[in-house]
Amino acid sequence: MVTMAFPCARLVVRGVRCLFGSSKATGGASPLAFGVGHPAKGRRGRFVTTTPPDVEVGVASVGNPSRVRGGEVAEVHKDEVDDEVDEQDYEAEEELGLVKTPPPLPSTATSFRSYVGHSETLQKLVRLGMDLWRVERKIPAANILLRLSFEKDVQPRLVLLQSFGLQLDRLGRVLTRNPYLLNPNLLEENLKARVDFLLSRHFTREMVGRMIGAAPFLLSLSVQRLDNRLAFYQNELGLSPRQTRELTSRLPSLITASLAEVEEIMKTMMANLGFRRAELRALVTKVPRILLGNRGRLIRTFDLLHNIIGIPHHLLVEHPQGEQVFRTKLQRIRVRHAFLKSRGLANFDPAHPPSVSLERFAALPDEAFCQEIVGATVQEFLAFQKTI
Amino acid sequence: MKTFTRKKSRTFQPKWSRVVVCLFTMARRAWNALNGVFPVYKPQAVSWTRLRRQLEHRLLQDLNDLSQSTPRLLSAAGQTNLDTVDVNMAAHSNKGPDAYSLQLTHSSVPSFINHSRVNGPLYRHIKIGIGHRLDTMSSGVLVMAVGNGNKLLPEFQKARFTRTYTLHGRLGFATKDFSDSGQVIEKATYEVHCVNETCSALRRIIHEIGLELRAAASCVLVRRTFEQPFGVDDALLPAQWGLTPILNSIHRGQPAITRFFARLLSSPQPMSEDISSYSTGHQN
Repeated sequence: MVTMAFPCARLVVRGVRCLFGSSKATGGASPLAFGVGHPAKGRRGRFVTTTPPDVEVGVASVGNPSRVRGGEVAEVHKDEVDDEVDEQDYEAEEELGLVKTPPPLPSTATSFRSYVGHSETLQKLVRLGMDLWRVERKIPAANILLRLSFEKDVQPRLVLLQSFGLQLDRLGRVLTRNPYLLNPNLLEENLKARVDFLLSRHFTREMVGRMIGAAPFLLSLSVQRLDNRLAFYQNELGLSPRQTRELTSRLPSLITASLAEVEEIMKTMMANLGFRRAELRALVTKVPRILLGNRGRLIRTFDLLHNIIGIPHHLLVEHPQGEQVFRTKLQRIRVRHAFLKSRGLANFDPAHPPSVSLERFAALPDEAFCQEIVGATVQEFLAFQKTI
Repeated sequence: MKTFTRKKSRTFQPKWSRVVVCLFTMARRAWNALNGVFPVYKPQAVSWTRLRRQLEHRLLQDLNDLSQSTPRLLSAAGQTNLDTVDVNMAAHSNKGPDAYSLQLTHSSVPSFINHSRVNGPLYRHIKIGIGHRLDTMSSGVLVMAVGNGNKLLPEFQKARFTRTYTLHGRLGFATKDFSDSGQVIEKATYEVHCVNETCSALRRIIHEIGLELRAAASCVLVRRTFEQPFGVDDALLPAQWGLTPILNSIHRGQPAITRFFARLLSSPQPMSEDISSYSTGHQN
């Protein structure tokens, strides 16, 4: 008998590359450290867990093809005498009622549910705060997770990430978003080189840790790409290195975002919305998120603010935090403006008091907005909304 | 030694497990109660598809928040966890030696199979139906249906309920000095009661009124104020699009709908087939 809870069988999959060592190498601690997946072989939306040729598998369902759902993928070889003997022994024991057969693990599954009860690695990842149901959508990543051994693969990687300055409470979120950070194929030297590059550009260790926490795909970018992306913001917005650092450390997802989309937003703001380059720079420094938004929504918001409410460009840019309005919901601005207008209070120009602060107008909750800005009750505000 | 009874072993279940069960059933109960028709107030410039998406999203979010407010502690599937044996000597020591009993408790253990981080949100799809539609630039009462309420929607359509609209028109763009900034000389509100209408047909009414007066007129807003049996006061504003207000609204509207359908069945009135039957009342 083998050391594992299940008798051994051997499943061989043709054409599957073994990316990672056998379960023997991992000490067989986790019954799931054996699978090698090939998403292309399985149906869409399901990942396949089968084994490389040199791996022993704890699946008791050899003689029962119906349990092996990826039947066309998995092929049973029982040509080795030892295994056969083992199996015969086991069957004999089973008939005598000496052992109880646990339900076999399916060779393919659509969810981690089938494996998580049997895998310590997966259980520990869940305890770390990883959302496995989110990883399921990324089939290659799901298959990587199935093959991990916690002690051998995961633990050193966690120590490494922590040494980069990543806060422990962000760990689960980061690994959920970018499970490829646990990929043994991703070399530690490369990760270290990327962090060293950021440090060489005078990002502090705390900054780097926070950036990884906020933009999990940061470490998946090569040094060359990281450099290109920092240079992009520096050149397009005409920033100093220090300003670039501040901007990207404030919103690190700028580095991992699609530069083509960011460039389109920049072009839209200058060509269509009429902001000058300096205005754009000022706006982006205050609200970096504006570069990651939806282009159509940006245009609609600007149209409402500038053409309908009548707020000029300089007020949108210069008024302290006034550009927060770009981040609030369009419907909220529309309704609140209509309410102010009905009361004759819709003046946002500080040069002609009494005026309404744009920031407070956009950011305050309904109760405070009604009380402090309009001087009305929430009930009146609700009743007003049903008249427009 | 006394053997334990089923009743007694139940009384020794820890309290927290009841709380968990309670929360599950709350989400489940809410889900089961989501059957019926409720009115919402559609704001202007929001399409009904977007509105429906928002409603679905908020309902699912609230349901999942309710079901996931504590970690799911259920006994693992396929494992009857009877290995925890509690000998509750202290609890019975005051009742004399005969009362000593061995308590077998079915303890609940955190199961990874049912863990919310493995399973994801419990509620992922909800189907919300929509009654007689309003186009993007119109606002007002919109009847929505959820669950079994979806079956009621065709009945609403067949019943040909009258709907009431308020049309805001700008009448007469007469310019005084031929400058290009037209001065509005009259603003008018019309109330229209109709069946089988569309929003664009209603706008046309304003246009026709303008023509009758030998002037130009345009419609600023089409606002539906009543769709039987719901009025503006019953309709839920976007801030109220959540599980509790919607459940309350369904509950409140139930008798009115039952009553209305009952009356309709008892005395069927001949309803006109086409749009031409509307009555307009002019309130300036």
